[in-house]
Amino acid sequence: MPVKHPADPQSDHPPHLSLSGVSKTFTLHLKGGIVLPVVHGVTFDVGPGECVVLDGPSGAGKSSILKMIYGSYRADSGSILVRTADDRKTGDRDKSHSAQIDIVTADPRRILALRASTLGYVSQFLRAIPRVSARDLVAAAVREGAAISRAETRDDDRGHEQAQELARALLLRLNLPERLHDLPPATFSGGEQARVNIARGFASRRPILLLDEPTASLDASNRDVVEALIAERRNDGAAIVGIFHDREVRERVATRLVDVTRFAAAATAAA
Amino acid sequence: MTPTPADRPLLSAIALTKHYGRRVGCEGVSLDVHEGEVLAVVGESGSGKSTLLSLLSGRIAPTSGSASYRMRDGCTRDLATLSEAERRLLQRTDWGYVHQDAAAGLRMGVSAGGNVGERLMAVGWRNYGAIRQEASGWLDRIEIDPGRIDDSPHAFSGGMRQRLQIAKNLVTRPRLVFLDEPTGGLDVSVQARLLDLVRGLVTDLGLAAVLVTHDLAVARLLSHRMIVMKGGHVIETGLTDQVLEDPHEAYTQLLVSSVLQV
Repeated sequence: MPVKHPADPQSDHPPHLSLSGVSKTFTLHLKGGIVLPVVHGVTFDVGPGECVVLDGPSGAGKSSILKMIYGSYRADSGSILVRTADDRKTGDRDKSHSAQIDIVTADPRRILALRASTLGYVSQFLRAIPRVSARDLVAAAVREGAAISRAETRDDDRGHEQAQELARALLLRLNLPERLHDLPPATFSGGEQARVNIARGFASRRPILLLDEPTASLDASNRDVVEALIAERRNDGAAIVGIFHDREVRERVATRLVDVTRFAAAATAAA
Repeated sequence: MTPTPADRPLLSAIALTKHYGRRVGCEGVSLDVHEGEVLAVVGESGSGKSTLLSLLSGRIAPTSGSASYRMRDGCTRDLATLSEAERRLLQRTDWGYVHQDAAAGLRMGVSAGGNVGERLMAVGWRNYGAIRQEASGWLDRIEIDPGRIDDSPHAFSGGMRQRLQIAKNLVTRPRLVFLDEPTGGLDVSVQARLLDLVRGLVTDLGLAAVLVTHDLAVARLLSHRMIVMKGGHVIETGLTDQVLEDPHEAYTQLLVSSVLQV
């Protein structure tokens, strides 16, 4: 299937994200060192404006693939090439400069820098920080995104106000009533926490977005909001990789499905 | 590409080793800490993490290996070659050291304001009014009523003392802070407040920190990278979420799986 890059017609640009031969096993030392195969030979590209949805049954390794892209799981082999935000800006001027970073071999500080500038990750679970309000959590994410393109506005008061306003609008859009915005989300319901997390994930405008079942605990109207947010980010040229268990959501948001089952089968065969 | 100053580590250890007689304190530890980066050192009691912290902060001398620090003037110096006066100046200005026991890091016979002001005087502040004003601002920042500036730390709760110790360390705007089990011995609710405060200060001030803790939740909240120690050796390193979500070594897997879920 040809890969379309609607927001980036220059065909000489590499895709935002390119996985090649990525394999992963878990060695469980506390269970006598048994080796659990997860995936083997994972290969796919994601271009700007695409939403690639990983498809396959529970346990097929979909979340593991997302975590390897984000760098929180370490791949055993293969490469995960990420085109960096900086290089997209300077790419035409300086073609000799290496435009891609391999997450599999990158040192931890490089991965942290990539997460700050390029890689966003949204799960359904909020890692709440004690005493930080919902709006401040989201506003901090807005400013992380703004820091990439407008470093000079990062610390000024106007930047702060804009971030607060954007955070407020995003939370309201996700139907989180204003009376909750000033409260730390630790005491919120699961669905409310999930929406704060989604607001945070979509607040920063990173060019690659990884979505691990963001809609799982949402009602229909909030699912619609998330689908609209995904469409907006795609129009901005973001490359999105997602996992969606709900078949209808999957069919609406996906520009392409990648069947993970074969990678899991290859892992079992290789073990 | 020539490395910019920011690319050079602030603190760097090469094969750092400390033997106590025949017993190994820590052995062959190499690590880098960069500006604005929080490195957690985790492991059980006796794993060598406190010895490592003492070596890195120049409080004890290594048996072999070296630790070096990039000074404010840009020169990287081996800690072993610093004179006693230079080391003390570094410890009182560009470094902070937060002890588990606040009483070890505070002068208990001196008022709260005096504890904070003392470090300012070490960097040349002489105006009493300015020192008092700065100390008062810091008390406010660490959520202690500035009206208690003349109180002795004896009159403070454990959590307040720990926050005061942090203010005392940060008032000179150090670039590197050593944190030795900063939440150990505090009630859980007090811990949360302290953690939030430390997290905010580290982010706002762009501090680098070496955090020694046996509490993986504390490490997760505060640190970017993590090293796991056992028997004086570093057995695993990586991003904090890598080590906690995808631990490779048997001992790390045991540590992670031993945490109670709530």
